[in-house]
Amino acid sequence: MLRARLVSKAVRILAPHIVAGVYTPEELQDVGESVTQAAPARSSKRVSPSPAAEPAATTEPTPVTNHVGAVIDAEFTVVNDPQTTVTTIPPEHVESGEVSPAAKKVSDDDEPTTPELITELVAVTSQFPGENGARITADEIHRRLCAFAGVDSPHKATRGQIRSLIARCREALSR
Amino acid sequence: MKPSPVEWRRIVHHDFGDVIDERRNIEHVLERWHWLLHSLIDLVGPSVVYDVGLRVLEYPPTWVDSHGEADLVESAVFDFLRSKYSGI
Repeated sequence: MLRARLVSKAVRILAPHIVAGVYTPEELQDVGESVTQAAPARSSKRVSPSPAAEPAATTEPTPVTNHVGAVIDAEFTVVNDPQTTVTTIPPEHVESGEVSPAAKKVSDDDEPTTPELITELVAVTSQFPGENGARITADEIHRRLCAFAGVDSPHKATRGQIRSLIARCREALSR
Repeated sequence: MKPSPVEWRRIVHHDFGDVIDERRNIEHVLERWHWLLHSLIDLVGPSVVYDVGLRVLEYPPTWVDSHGEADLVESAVFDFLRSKYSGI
C-alpha cells in the first residue's frame, strides 16, 4: 500500500497530467485526516470529501473524477514590506559568487574589444594627420593600434585599451 | 574614345550589376579584396567598406586594383565614420 502511494505521489510530482487530478477514495481520506490534524478549525471549510470517498471499505478503489472541493490550496496575502523586498540578482553574478552586485562595479575592460569600439576609434583617429603630414591611412591606424596594444590584430586588444586610446585622442583633439 | 578602366567598371556594374552577386563572400578578405584595403577592412569590417565603397565608386569595391581607388574608398569610409560618431 505504501509502495502504491509512493508511486502515485511520484507520478503526481513528475507527470501530473497523467493522473489529471484523479484521486482514489483512500487518498482523499488521508488528505482529509492530515488537514484535520494540521488545521482542525479550517478543515471543515477547506476539505469536503465527496460522496464518492465514502465507500472506503470497498476492496477495489474506484477512481474519483470530480473532486473540486478536495483541492487544498495555500492561502497567501501580499505584504508590501520594504524589508522583505527581494532583489533579483543576474545569474552571472550569482554564478561568480558575487553577493552584492550593486556594491561592486563590474568592469569589462579586460574583455576583448568590440567592432563598435574599433570603428569609434577609427572615426576619432582619422582626424589626425599621418606620418608624412598627409591624411592618415587605415594602415597607419592599424599599425599604431597594434603597437599600442601589443597585439597583431586590433580585435585582440582589450576594451580598456581601446577606450583609453579613444579618450586620449579626444583629449588631444580638444586641445 | 576608349573608356578608362574605372569607367569600364561603372559600365559593367550598371549593365550587369543585377546579374553578378558581388556582395557574396565579402568576408573572405584575402580572396575577394585588394590588399590595399585589408587594413581598413580589418578595422571596420567588410560590410561598411563595401557599402560606402559602392556608393562612392559606383561599382563594387571588390573590383578595386589601384591606389587611387583604394584612397577614395578609405577617405569615404573615414568621412562616414566621422559623421556617424560626430555626435558622441
